[in-house]
Amino acid sequence: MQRNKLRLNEETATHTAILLDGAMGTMLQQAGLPLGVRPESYNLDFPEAIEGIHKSYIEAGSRIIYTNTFGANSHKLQGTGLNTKEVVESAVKIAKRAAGDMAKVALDIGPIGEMLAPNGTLSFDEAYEIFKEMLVCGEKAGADLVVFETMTDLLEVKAGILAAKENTALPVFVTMTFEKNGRTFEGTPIEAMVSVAAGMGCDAVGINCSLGPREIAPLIKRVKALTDLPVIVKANAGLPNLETGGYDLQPDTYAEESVEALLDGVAYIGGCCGTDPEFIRRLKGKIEELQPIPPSVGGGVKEHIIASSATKAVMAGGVHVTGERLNPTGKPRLQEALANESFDYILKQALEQADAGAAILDVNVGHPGIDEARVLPAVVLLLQSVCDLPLQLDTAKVNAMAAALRVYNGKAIVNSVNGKESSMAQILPLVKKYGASVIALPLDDDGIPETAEGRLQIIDKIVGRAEALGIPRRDIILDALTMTVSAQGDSALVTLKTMDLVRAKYGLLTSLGVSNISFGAPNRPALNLAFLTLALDHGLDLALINPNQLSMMEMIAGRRVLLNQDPSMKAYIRFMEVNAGQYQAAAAGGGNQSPGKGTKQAVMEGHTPEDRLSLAIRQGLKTETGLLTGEILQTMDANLVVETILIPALDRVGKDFEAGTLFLPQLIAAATSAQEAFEKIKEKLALEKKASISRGSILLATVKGDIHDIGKNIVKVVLENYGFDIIDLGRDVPVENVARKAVEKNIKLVGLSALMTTTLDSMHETIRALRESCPEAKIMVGGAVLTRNYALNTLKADYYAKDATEGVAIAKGIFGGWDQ
Amino acid sequence: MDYKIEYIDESDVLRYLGFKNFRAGVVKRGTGETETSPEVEATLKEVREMAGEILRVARPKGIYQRIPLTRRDGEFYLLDGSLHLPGKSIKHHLKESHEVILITGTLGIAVDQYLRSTQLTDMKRAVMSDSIASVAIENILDQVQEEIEQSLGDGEYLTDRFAPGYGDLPIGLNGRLAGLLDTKRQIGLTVSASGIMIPRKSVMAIIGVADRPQGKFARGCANCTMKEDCSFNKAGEICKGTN
Repeated sequence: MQRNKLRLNEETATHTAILLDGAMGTMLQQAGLPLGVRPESYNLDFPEAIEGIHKSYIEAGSRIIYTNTFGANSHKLQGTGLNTKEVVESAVKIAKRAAGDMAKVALDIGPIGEMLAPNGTLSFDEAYEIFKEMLVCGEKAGADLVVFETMTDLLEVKAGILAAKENTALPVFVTMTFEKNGRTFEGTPIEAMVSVAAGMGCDAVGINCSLGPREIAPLIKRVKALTDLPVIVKANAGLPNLETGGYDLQPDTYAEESVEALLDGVAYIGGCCGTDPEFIRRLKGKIEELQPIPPSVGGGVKEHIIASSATKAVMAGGVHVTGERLNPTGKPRLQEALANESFDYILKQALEQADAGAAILDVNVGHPGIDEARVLPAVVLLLQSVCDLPLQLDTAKVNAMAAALRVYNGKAIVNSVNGKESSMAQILPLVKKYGASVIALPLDDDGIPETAEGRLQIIDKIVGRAEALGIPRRDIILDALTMTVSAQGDSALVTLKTMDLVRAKYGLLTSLGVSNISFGAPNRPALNLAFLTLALDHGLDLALINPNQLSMMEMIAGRRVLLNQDPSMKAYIRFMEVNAGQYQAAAAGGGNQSPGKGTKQAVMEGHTPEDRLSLAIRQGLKTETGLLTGEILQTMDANLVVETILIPALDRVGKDFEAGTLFLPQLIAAATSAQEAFEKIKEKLALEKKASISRGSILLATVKGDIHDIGKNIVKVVLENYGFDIIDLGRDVPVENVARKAVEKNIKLVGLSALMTTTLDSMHETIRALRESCPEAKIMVGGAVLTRNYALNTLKADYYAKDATEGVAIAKGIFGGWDQ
Repeated sequence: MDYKIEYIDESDVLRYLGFKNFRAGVVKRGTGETETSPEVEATLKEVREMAGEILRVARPKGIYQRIPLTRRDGEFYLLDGSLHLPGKSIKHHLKESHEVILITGTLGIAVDQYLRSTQLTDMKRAVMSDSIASVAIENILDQVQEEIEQSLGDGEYLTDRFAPGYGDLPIGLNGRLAGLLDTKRQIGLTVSASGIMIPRKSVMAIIGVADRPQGKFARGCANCTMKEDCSFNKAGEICKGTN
């Protein structure tokens, strides 16, 4: 779609800031808007009042006015008798009438008012549709641009930008609202906002609301350092004044305190809560007084954001570790987890790498039989719900890449593009559209050139194509490719020279998968470490390694100290503390870990390993449980371990819990310890390519609309440890998903949870759907608001489980078991 | 407004965790008199350590606002009659009140995020931290209420906090109350389509303003953030902290 650039960008090339308007809500309250009445209703009921406010701002100097549509989305208007179309149309019409040719009209869009998943239950697609409706109406009614303001949720902003870009030609302004600490309520830092807004081609970006001009000034400096886009500021009239209930700045002090932002070269300035036309008039006076103000565009990007999540940004400079472990190649346990869609295992691997010091996680779900276009975006959503590291999306499937980029919250790294025509033609437009970074590989239809010069030529081609599409050079990351040194003696040298040539010519950032170098060689860690050291000397920015490998991580930590990147060794010392356990284990026995003297009191000498395992589970000793299980598995069949040790131990714990001599924390600790034992068993079975132990599959879900899933998760942990396979559909699960999955997996037992009176209806519907699609499946329900009577008689569930141990009893009854 | 968690009532945490035979007051803080068991002691030690993490991730906020209360045909309304407060229990609660104060507070979304990831890495910690956070948000509300009390005029008295979802006051009211208080913009609190407050560790309540002292039911179920998920309640019991 041809973008309508208006004359906005030309205007910002002049040396003055363009005046926006001030508050609408404050003015309406002054005009007598009663509490509880939607300001948007005034567009229809009192259009002349709205027009009057617009006019007074234009008279004060505003050259862009915001329509009175902040909360005009269909979600917020629900139940008010108003609809988005009539509100937006009338609001734009009023604004245009007021503006004449004196001002541009910005379609104002505030937050939807509900939180997006994973924090809330609103989906990305729903948010997109809600924005799309406003945008299409607004453009049709004649708005000149759109401004998303007072945003705090980055994914919501992304949905809004996409909806604007895909459905209108309107220029897009984005301002988010930050607290003094430089983060939104949802924890989004300025870096993450800028990476998304600038990356996705917004026309201006900035800050509004929450703080006064003095508090916003340092945040604006930060925005300016990160982008060459025009910067917007709309501060409140100072901080809330508790005594008056208003704000603490007068128009003249407001203008005075805005000087810093003006001198920093903001392109658009206006006011938010508590401001009125007098504030705008004073700002206008101040701008005239300060002439000429330095140019606001073209200052250049001073600090570059390589990648971001909603809450974390990885900045260029120094070396960052990209965790490589979320890749099923050569990892049977991960392959099994993907095949079974038991995503918890994957999420745990992600959190482990984050703990170990990774700054970015590479995510690859490619394996025969996996539909990447479906699974990759699903895994991305799950990862982002628990882990705050930016992700590197690693897939050869273009549709999977597109789907994952769409739902990704933040600026992703695309892994990868290469010199093949098909790759460049398909991948680079995605990189541009979603504002990602991209890993560029020097290979094409003729394979990987053997010389550095040959590899440079391919990079020439990729850089040229990327820049032609408007992808900035700084977003292209070279992976010079690592070939195994045992096959080709100079392979490391070629890689390093490629890095040198490309860095000298284009200044690209670099990434490298290190471990390929040692393939087929003895003592691989030593070669890997040596190669990583060399690559760092050649300017490597992103090291794609296994962050659980201590030697590499400690070398990087040490290197940061020596290069004076870690003042007073803070990170270095923290690294040693975090990894103290590994150091002790290494000192104790060179990696051959066994539960020795250092372990806790419960695992006593003299007992048989079987007794010790049973005791370790009861005491909730996770590490010991894992180690002992490994030991016992060397001589005992896995099934037998489950049957004769694990289940009886858990049964005893369950009985004590029932009896009230043992409490919830201990029950869970025992269950999680047993989980460690099951993990060892699964690893062994996956390695031996044996079928996993399973007493049957149970489907669990927290019903649609409900996000209280901790109870369901407790049930899951406990059931898993009785050898049941749990298919966990998560929380807020649509009715049809439960029914479909139950049919697909031929499920005999479904567990549903709901914790709110308002979501019991969803439970009822889910049960009805299940009865229809798989009448033979038994249904057990649980959750705080449920009673046995209600569950069995009103909901017509088969079972009511008041807690996890009762759930186990029900499952045993249905599937039978070894211990019956 | 920003707040800090000042105090986490450990005996409340234990009750939330289902320590059935544990009675509030068994561990007498500060007196040195403890009548307790090894399980209780071990759990308390863990609670203290885990509370530190909640203190670190929480960004507690709270606000309140006075709202006119209207009675018409025996029904109670907020504002000039545009917001109905249905049910018997709220009528009883506000029977002597001439005005209400809406009060709300939250620990912030980072606590939700912390509890989500902890459920993967350490379920026991997650469950315990969940209870700790539920107790912590009560402390924030207590502080907001203290501020309200200081702002009262002569001869004004408050009722206790009464939250939608308690008695027959529908939880669906949360969305309207959040809208009135503009909680999304003020403290980052939203309400989902099914009435769930997000961030999860949040409280929204109605306090009545009366012109004579009001009976207290402090520590009662109405005030309790666990009311949606109370194992005692499910079993038809009340926890021992309710007296």
